[in-house]
Amino acid sequence: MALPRVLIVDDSIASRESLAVFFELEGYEVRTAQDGVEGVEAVAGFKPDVVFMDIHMPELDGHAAAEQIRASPDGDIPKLIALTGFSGEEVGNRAEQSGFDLVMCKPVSPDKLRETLAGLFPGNGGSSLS
Amino acid sequence: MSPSAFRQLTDPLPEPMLLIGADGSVKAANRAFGTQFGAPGGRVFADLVGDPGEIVSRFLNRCRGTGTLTPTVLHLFTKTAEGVAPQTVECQVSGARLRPDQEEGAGEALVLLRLIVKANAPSKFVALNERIGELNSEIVARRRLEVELRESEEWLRVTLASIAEGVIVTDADGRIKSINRAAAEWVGWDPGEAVGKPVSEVWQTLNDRTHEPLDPVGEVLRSGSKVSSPPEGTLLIRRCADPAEPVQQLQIEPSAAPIKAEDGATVGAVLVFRDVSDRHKNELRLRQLNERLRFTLKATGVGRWFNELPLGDLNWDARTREIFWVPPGVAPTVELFFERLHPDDREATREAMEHSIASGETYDIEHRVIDPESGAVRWVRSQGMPSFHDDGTPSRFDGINYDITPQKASEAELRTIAAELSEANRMKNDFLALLAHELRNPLAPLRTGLEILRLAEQRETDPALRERTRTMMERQVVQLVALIDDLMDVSRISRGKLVLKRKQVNLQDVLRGAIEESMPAIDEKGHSLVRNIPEEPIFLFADPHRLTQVFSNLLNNAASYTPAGGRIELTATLGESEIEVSIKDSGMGIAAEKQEEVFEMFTQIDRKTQGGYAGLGIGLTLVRSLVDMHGGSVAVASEGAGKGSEFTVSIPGVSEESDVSHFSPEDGEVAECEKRRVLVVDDNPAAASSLATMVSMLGHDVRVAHEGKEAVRVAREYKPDVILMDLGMPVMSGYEAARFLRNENPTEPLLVAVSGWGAQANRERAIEAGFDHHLVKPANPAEIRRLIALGQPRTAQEG
Repeated sequence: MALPRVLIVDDSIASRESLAVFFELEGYEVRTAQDGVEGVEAVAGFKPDVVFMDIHMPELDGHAAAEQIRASPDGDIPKLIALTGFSGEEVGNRAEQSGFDLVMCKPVSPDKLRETLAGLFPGNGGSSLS
Repeated sequence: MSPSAFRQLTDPLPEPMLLIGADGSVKAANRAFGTQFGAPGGRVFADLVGDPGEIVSRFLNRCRGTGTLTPTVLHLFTKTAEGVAPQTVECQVSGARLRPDQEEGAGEALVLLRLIVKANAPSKFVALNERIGELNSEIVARRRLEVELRESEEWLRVTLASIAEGVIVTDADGRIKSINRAAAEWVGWDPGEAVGKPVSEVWQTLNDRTHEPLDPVGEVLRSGSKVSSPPEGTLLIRRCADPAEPVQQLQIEPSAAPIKAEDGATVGAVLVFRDVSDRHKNELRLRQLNERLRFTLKATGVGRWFNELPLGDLNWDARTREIFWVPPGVAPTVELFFERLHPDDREATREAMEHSIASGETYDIEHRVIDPESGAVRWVRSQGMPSFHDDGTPSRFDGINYDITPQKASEAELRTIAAELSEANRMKNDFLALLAHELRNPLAPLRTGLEILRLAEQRETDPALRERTRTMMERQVVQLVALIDDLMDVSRISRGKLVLKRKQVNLQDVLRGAIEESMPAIDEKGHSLVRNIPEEPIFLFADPHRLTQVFSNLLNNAASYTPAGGRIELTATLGESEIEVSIKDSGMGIAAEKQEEVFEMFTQIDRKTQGGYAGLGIGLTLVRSLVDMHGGSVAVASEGAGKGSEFTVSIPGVSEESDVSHFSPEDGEVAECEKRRVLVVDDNPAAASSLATMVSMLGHDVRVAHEGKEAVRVAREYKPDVILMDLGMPVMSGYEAARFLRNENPTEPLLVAVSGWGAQANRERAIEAGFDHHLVKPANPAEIRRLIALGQPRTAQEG
């Protein structure tokens, strides 16, 4: 059985690349995108199981990208996790409205990432490696 | 008839006469009786012989008015010191019945007897009888007059006693003839006691203001005409029986008039007065109240209005006229009132007025009044109240009004402040949220990076991965530190704590440093950087570190707001007096209305709502502050959202005017004098900057100020050895600053005027103000060098 596919969408190269390396080391198949537009395209092409998406990005922000992904007519919709430097109830509500399944506040601890993925995909990937 | 009246009437008559009572007893005798029958020094008692009652009743019956003579014997007793001598006289009597006395008489009949001694001739009786008849009627007439007089006297007495005025009547000598109850009470005398006394003894009055004694009666008696109270008022000092009691004073209003006889001679005076103490006190209180009211109105600027209803002509006081800009000579009307009101306030005012008059409720409104001349507007608060006739119809509409323009202005100001505060508070909260965001962004890869390093070590993976991760983490740390540094710098600038360390710098070096710092951010996004920088050195008098910060911030900003793979263009141009550096990107651009705001801290937050991209405003805020401190300016241009932005920084350069471009430290002689502290003062940033650059190149320490006040302040703290100062400057001129400095220290520092004004008059005025030397712009560098060398190092002397 194939490992879950992880898509990381973030305009900060450091955030994007470090997460990608981490998830690769954890044994997932990883793709990255640097803004919302690329993110939406990557969802269609790569067909990830989970998307970690920054909210504040140029071109198309996380909210708009999530809405577009949710509105997509074809196939399964991946789990959408918002990663943001902002915190607070409003941020959570807004993300939920846009169609995110979960909001995580940066910087997220690696253990929390592992737990989350283990929760979403029981019996798969990360949990066996940790 | 009383015995005295009898005597009064009969004493002049020659016949002896007696007045006999009804019982026959003798009541009185006239003088002739005493002369004929009495003895010298004694008194005579007479008695009728026989039955006196019978004699009298006989008279009464027989003689109605005039009777015939009847022979009668009289027994007379003449009482002397020796004893009583009886005497009998034979005589004829005739008599008359007198009317019973209405007052005393209780109806007792009286008989007047005329005695005619036998020896006398009976022929005289006829004439005598006639005479008695005349006498009788005269007595009746007199009697009537007497009664009338008594009645009128009584009237007068009662009237005087009952009136509220005090009345004193004196004779021509000023002695009191009568005093009524009210007057007696006020002067503190018993009426009986006062009568006959000179009025001056009873009547003690003073002029209320001057306290000079007043004597109206004396004046009246002297002048024969009426005298009234002086305008200052009259004070009556009441007689005080008990000396322990306090002196009582009454405010009175006297008037005195002469009593004239028929021939016009003054025979007395009448003094009429009343106690006006209460009225006087009330008047005084009223005056004080009025005074206070006037003061209150004046102090508060309150104007009053009094209007008859229905409204037509209005009655306004001076202040209200002033409030409504009513020129003198113009009578205010209700039409004028509405004309002066701001058109937007007319309807509401009319309604409030009508409502108040209809309901009787207080009228209280704020309206604007416009000056027809200047168009000036003032806010006025007006409060009033209607009054009503007994039948309930409104009669008056009166009230006050006052200018509330200042209150309105402060209210508006407070509202603005409140709005600003609330806006500032919102911005602060947004800023904190954004700050957290900006800090978390570099922290996220750091945290992940640490985990990668741990995993890589555990699994002994590719060492290149570890190296790459470590480099990435280093950049994040640098970014974090830079962010925090920027924050601290903004804070220091806002508290005025950041001081530029200026020196002569080459712009190329500054730009090279800025590019070096920003390159990682530019590379990270895969942008290309185009440099258009002249080859030859461009000198500036600036803080190299801060200027580097300015340009690296602008480059970072361009890198952040341009989507990956964009183009950034850095161009430096040397203008006539300033250097321009522009940084242009192909990024998201800025909407025209946001272009000024980008330099304000926090405002970039709004971008997130545009569905765009967020960042802290710190970088650009810092850029503007630092450029300002260098005497330059920064501007942004963008053709709009999505069209890219161009930031242009202008900094005063080295002007040709000062000849610095032809001067370099290599020209030598720099070390010919010790290092001095030099303060350069000029309101023209380019001039200040170029002169400072020159001084700095000569190897001296330099500070710059841009006007006189700042120069004085910097001089106190910096303690320069030499001050090179322009003369014409805003806020405080060079002359004033020199006077100020010389006042503090007459000899130091060396003051050199560097001015565009070369006239001899300016030179003299400068020397007079305290300058030691005067140079005309452009100053010769050699001259500057020579003069700086003249300045004595102050610190050395102090040491």
